[in-house]
Amino acid sequence: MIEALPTNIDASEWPELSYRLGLTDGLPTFPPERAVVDALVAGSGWPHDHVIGEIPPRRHAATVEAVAANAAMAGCRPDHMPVVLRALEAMLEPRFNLAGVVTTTHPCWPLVLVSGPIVHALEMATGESVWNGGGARANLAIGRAIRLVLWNLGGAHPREPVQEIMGHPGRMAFCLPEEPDNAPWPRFHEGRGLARDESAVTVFACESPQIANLWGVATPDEGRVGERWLELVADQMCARGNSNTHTMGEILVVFSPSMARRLADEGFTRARVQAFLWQHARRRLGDIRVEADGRPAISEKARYDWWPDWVDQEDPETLVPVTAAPEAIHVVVSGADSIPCASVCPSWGHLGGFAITRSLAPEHTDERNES
Amino acid sequence: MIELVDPRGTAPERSRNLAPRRGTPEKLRRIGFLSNEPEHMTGPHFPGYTRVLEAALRERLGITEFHLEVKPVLSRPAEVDMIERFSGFDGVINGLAK
Repeated sequence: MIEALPTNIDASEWPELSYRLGLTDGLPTFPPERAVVDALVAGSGWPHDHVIGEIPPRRHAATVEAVAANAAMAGCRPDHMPVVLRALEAMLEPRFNLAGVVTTTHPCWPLVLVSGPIVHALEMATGESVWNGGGARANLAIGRAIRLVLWNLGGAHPREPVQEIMGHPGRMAFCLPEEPDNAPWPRFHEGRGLARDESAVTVFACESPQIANLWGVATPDEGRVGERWLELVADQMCARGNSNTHTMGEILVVFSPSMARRLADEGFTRARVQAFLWQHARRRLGDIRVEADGRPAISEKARYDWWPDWVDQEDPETLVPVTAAPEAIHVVVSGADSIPCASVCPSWGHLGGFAITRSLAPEHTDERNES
Repeated sequence: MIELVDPRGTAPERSRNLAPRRGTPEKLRRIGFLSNEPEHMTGPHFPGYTRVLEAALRERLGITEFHLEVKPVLSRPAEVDMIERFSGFDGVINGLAK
């Protein structure tokens, strides 16, 4: 039985009340005050009683008002609401498999990737420390709102029902804005069928970022150093302990602006980067799967039936890519425009959490208002 | 004083009820196993565990009928037709094991 929330309290009572009722994962929150919630609902452009869907695994209804209550706790502004709501809508697509994403033993969590002009409009940070918010309210408030919605409406609490073995720091707030202007390639959402000047949110369930420091590679004034950097990133993508190495699926690679520029100077478009990484982020089958005595595991019993048929699973020398196609490698530009650097976010492989993109164009909100 | 909005929203109304309890284990005759994935050399290995369970249930409770179903994708719920094949069973055991 869920203990009822008092309708009216003194504001000073909120911190202890929120912990006692289990309304937060441990971090302090703002009270979901009626006046703030109403302002957030108004900012969303959606009716307060519109239902986005049922949030698994608890399956409480995500009305716009209930989402706004969690956004209020997270410190969101009204103009953050369309991003939060569209992100949730995307996560509730069946192929995202949100119930699985939040309860699996694997440490993935829905990353909210924001792209387009809204990044500047919301004053989101894309520079230093971008993976932990970059000092910007919007980065963390949006990521935090998603966390609290999944906590309070979805009941995604550790142990029961969340079986995650180790955890993921991003579960507290996981939002990454793409640098909208200081990048040599089209914006991320353009590759996913949207116009450049639109803004978009993409959700993708992935692990914590692994930083690819470009040690031991020639200095930038020598030859095709960008290509050598890509080889280093590819090596990190196919680490033996990454789920993608065993189950493929999709993977995210984030380049700092200076690294992206160097690659572009060497003729690398986003598509060429994807193709290069797909060719080089491969491991020998005999190293991916081994018997207890160290021999390659190539028996029928060891077979991965989720790999495409073109992967020869009888030859230990087969080089297996980390995704089934280059397009499953998502390439984004963000981070400080200083030292070239990259980060790699492996995913839940073929099991779910696949990238889903939603436009943030106002006309889409108007359509939703009619429902 | 401040007025609060409950961030937990409302629980959906459910029309389905839990299956009836079967009372004492001596009355059990048919048991199903629902495995997340086929038997592999690595990873979760529930089918192997079911063989141990089956032997124990046969010996200790005299259960004679067992049926194993394997989900096509481990991370997704079993489809309705798969669940239908367990209708009439006294119990279904689902889980992960190594």
